[in-house]
Amino acid sequence: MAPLSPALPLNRAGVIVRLGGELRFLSAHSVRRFVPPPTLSDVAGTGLTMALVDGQVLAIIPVGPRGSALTVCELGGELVGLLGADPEAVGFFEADGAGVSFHGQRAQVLDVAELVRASARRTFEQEAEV
Amino acid sequence: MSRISAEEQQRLAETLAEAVKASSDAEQASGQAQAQAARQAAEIEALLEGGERLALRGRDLRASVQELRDTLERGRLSTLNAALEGARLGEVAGRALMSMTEEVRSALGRSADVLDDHAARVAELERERERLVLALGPLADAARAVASEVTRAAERNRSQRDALSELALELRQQLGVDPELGGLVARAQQEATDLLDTLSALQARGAQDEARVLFARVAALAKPSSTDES
Repeated sequence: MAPLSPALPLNRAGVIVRLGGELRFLSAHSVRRFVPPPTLSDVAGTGLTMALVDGQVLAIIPVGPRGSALTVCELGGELVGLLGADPEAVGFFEADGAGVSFHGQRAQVLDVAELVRASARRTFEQEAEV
Repeated sequence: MSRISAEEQQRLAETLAEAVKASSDAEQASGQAQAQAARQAAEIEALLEGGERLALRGRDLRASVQELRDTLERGRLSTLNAALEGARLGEVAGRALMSMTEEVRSALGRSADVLDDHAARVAELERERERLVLALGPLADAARAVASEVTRAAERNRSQRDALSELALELRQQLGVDPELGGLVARAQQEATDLLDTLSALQARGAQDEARVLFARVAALAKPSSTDES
């Protein structure tokens, strides 16, 4: 297999989302779809939030204000909804380190797995306090 | 039995006739004013009702603007989802889909801008309507006050006319003063004076023969009453 030429720009397919005023990048293969923000249901005593999206119950991770869309991501075969990560653009973006460059700005990769872990940690902590 | 002279009787009758006529004119005028005030109050009420209907239509417009906004937002999400599919297909295979979704997203964005302008105009119209309704409120109160004042004035006029009628009756019974007769006498006197003036004017302009004929006719008309008096 021929190595990639360093002269060719390497583009990454994915989504640019705005998170707390910052641009972040999600790869096209980690995002399933965008849906209007659904009705949220808190799971009593757990600190978890769930929502019914297209007939499926999803765990919701709030990452910012409600916004205009829920970004449904796939992580290890499970779907999880990011609420507050509003999509700015979808397409191919020039790679910039681990992230991409969008309109001259660097957009770091948004680590959904880490968001899920952080959410789980908070849940355990709450349960421990109870 | 008369306790005042015939001349005084006539003067009193004339004065009373004038008062009765003035009262009747005032009653007629107040009736017209009453109708006008009622019409004005009804028109202002109708304008206020129109304002309420406009408010309802404004609410409908706002609801439809919101519905359009939601539809555009759903459209925007659909184009993002289509673009996501294009991105998954790869740079070559997905390029056409990406361009098409970009085009549609741009059109939806322009539509959203137009809709925002539309919503701003609807809001401006709503503010204008509120200002008009606020201005009409005191006008409606004033029209109602005028209508009620005019009604009271009409009632006062009726009382005045009744009082004058009673006074006329009493004067007729006590002093033999008849305002109707007094009025007729006064009118006849005025008309006779006018006729004499006209005949003098005819003579002055050299129409002697015509004036003579007319004098003769007036004299013929006056004969029976002079016979009665004698």
